[in-house]
Amino acid sequence: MCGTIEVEQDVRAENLHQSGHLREHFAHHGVRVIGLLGSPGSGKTTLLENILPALSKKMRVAVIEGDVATENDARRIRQLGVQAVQINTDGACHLDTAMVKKALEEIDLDAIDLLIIENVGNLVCPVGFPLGETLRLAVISAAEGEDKPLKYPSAVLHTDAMVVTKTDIAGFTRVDPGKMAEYARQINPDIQVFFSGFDKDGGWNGAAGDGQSLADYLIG
Amino acid sequence: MHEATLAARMLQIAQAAAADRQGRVRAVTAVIGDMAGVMTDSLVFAFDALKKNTPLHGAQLKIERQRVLVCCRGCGAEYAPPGFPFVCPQCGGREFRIVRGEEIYVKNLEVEEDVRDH
Repeated sequence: MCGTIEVEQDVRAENLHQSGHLREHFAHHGVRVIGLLGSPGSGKTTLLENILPALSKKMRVAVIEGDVATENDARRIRQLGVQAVQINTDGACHLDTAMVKKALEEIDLDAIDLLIIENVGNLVCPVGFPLGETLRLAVISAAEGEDKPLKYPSAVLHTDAMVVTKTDIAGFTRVDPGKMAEYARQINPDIQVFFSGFDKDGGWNGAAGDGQSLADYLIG
Repeated sequence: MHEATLAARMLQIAQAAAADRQGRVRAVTAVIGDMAGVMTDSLVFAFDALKKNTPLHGAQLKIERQRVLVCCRGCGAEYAPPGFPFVCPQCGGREFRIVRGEEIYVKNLEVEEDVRDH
């Protein structure tokens, strides 16, 4: 004799629920939150190093850095005079709301306007685990191959903007950054696209795209 | 994805739902969307490894795949896209909302009834 127990319970429900709580918490303190997703080595921290000076001029900013190991990224951010809290996941492939809540114990939300959360380098797992972000950015470099947006559709579908980094080496990797934008829009017609690269003298181009700079887009 | 974490959470959900009948759970059925980013084989492997020292050690994880279904934001038609780009077969619109295909949930448990219950 067999019976059935109906369950109908979402496996990621707890994180989704907590993400909603975090979003309310951030809104209550008037903090705008930007999430950064991207593969290891895609240039997430380098992008932050370059854009933080412009953001810091207009807003009070803090950064949460997610990595499997080391405090290296938080150290890089602190060198710019920006508060950074490092989360080490000890192997876990994405941040979750519990980790972010713990990091928030070290951040005074009333003393900042903008919080940037850089996830663990991974283009798959962080996508299904929102952290109460206002905006989510996918960071994909021209070194990773032109068709990356097509190969990781969920990452492009569940982010508001894509930043194509390392456009200065696109010629060497035989990648057309414009093609990457086109592929991303095939998946997500609403996605905003920015292109980040350096000139021969090492000057950063400001990640322009869609008629505005990335800094202005993030400030909102 | 991180199938072991998902399998561990599924075990917790199933244990809570089965309450005092955990030892008699024969199967746990989970629904996985085609776009959920989950490898079925890897999930079953993790579930079988994790269940060993729990009351659910006799339970088999059964997977039902859910195909992707979207709703056209232009005309409201619901369709199952064959692949990207998603184009509405009714109006040719490219804007859409995902209705199904990203879910990961425990649907039900099959439990062997104890004759003493009757």
